[in-house]
Amino acid sequence: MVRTVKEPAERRSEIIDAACRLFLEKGYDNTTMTDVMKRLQIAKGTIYHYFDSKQELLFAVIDRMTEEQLAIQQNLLEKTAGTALERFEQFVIAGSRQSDHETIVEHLHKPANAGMHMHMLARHITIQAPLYAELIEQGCREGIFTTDSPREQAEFFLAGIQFLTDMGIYPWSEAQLQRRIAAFPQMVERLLGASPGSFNFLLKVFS
Amino acid sequence: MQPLQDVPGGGRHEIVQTARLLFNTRGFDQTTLEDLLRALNIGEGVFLENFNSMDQLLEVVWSER
Repeated sequence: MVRTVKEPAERRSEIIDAACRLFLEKGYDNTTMTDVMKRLQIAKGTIYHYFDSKQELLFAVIDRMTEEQLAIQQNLLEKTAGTALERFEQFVIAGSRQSDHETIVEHLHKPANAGMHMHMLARHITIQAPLYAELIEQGCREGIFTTDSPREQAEFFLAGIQFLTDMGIYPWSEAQLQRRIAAFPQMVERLLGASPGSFNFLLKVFS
Repeated sequence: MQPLQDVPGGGRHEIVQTARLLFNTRGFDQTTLEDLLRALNIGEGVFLENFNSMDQLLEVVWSER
């Protein structure tokens, strides 16, 4: 077998790519070291050298997906135009149309992966908050929102909405879920000091 | 067959733990079956009751955690 010498960063990245595809194709549980080895034609010892557990590799995959997600979200935000509220609506709706990595999400919903699931949720909130904060700051300049801490408010409502609507965390019935969703617009409006009804567009996202 | 729990270092769990420690400190490629048996103070037979090969053991060490 020809030994290809690669830069460590390149090798690491290659392993993450292969694992990402394998996790999506076969599921995390069914992916073995042998699968990664065959896909990349590298020794198991090499894989072990970079990631000494499958879970560590999954975290790297999650980080990679989160970074990709950030790039997509930034792109969506740049395409929005108008007042802060108009941009808010365009951004939220465009974001909701993005399909997640379904298989990974499904996998994250298994009880054994609760810790990992939290890790991914937390990372998502952290990367999205500055994008929402930008819109909140614009709204403050326009005089339609009032807040001294846009970033923290963004984190607060993202955490609240994403956590409370996560069916992997809360196995709500449809009626229970709808009650929570129905309350979101007013909660966000009060948080940001926005006028009543201005965030009703949030309901469209969940319908 | 279930491994005998009262054999020193012979339980499956203990093999995995010790192997992880060895792989982490010296790397998988630098760890031989002999190193592992010596560290656990067990014979090859006890190892083979639990695992087919070092390769299979590595797969288990890597996946379980």
